[in-house]
Amino acid sequence: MNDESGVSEAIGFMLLFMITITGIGLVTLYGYPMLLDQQISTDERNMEQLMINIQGDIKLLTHSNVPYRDVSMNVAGGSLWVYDYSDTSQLFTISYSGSTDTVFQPGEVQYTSDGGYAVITVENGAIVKREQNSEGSTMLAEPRWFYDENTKTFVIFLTRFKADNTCSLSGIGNLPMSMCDAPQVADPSSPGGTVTITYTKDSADDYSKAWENYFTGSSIVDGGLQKTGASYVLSPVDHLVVKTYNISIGRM
Amino acid sequence: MERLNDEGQWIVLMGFLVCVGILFLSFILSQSTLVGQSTSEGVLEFPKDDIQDLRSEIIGFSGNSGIVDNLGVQGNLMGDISMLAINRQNTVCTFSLTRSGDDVNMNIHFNNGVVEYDETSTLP
Repeated sequence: MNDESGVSEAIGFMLLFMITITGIGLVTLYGYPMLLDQQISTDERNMEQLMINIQGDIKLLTHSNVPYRDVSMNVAGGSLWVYDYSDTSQLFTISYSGSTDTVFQPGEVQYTSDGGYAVITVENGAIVKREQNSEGSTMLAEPRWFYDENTKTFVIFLTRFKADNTCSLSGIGNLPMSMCDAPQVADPSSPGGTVTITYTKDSADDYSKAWENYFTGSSIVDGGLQKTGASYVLSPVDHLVVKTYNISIGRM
Repeated sequence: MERLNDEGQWIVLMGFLVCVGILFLSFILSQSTLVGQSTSEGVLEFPKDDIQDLRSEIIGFSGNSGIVDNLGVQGNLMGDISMLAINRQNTVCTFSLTRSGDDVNMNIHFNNGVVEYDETSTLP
């Protein structure tokens, strides 16, 4: 004989309804924001990879003498900006034995995340990253400056972006880049000379920490450049080579 | 009642295995851009042809006693070669050819920031 004295349809319904509502509540309050965060960080990681592709293409333009490259891309979760070199106020000043100053403005290809805080920039052959509204920056990929110990030659590659006007892109598009002018090469020599590099930051777009870590790290020369005040010093340099590449970026 | 035929259970197991496989492949795919990029760069950036071109030129010079014995000519030639190397290949390169008895000693130094190559050899 069946005993169904403890079963009530109303309470059963309420229990199931409460479980459903609790489930929906949990997903809305915790699950969905977590998914959004995940989406933002995925977008930023994809953009880091895209920037590495752009840097690879810039290497092809500059080091492999290819005249024209097109990068197809999908910019998600933010927008990509191209700034002409004259619009960026950051400066690289290179002086050699107290003379022959090179003052260089790099220009930028910059991704700014809408949902997150990341700003990823390709400038002067490097990929640098910072957070909006906070200090500090890191270098994701380095340029290829080098110091040859045998001949005491310091080779500096400067990459400048030229754009007709500031333009931005979000969504699917491509970035046409060309290098139709020959690079300018300056190769002064002065035995036992000293090279001084100064990075002047743009306080709204500051990558001084990234460049400091690059200059003082051991990728240019073992032990890095000596930091003196706001400058980085390398000595002895018998021969300095500064190659300046001009990359034109067309309309995206 | 007829007994339930449960011989098809392996289909469920296979479905599960395929899911695990697809998950694993998706992990690999998400890493592929970065890995493929750096691997292909590694292959592209090894300047085998540049080094071979330079070697063959310098070995060509070693047969010419006007270059090996005349340090002035050799210096001019090296100036031209290193100028070409830095302008076209972004490479610092020097060489020296010195006579020792019947043989010629060859030193080559090549550095493009990624690959540094030094060679010392004796040519007949």
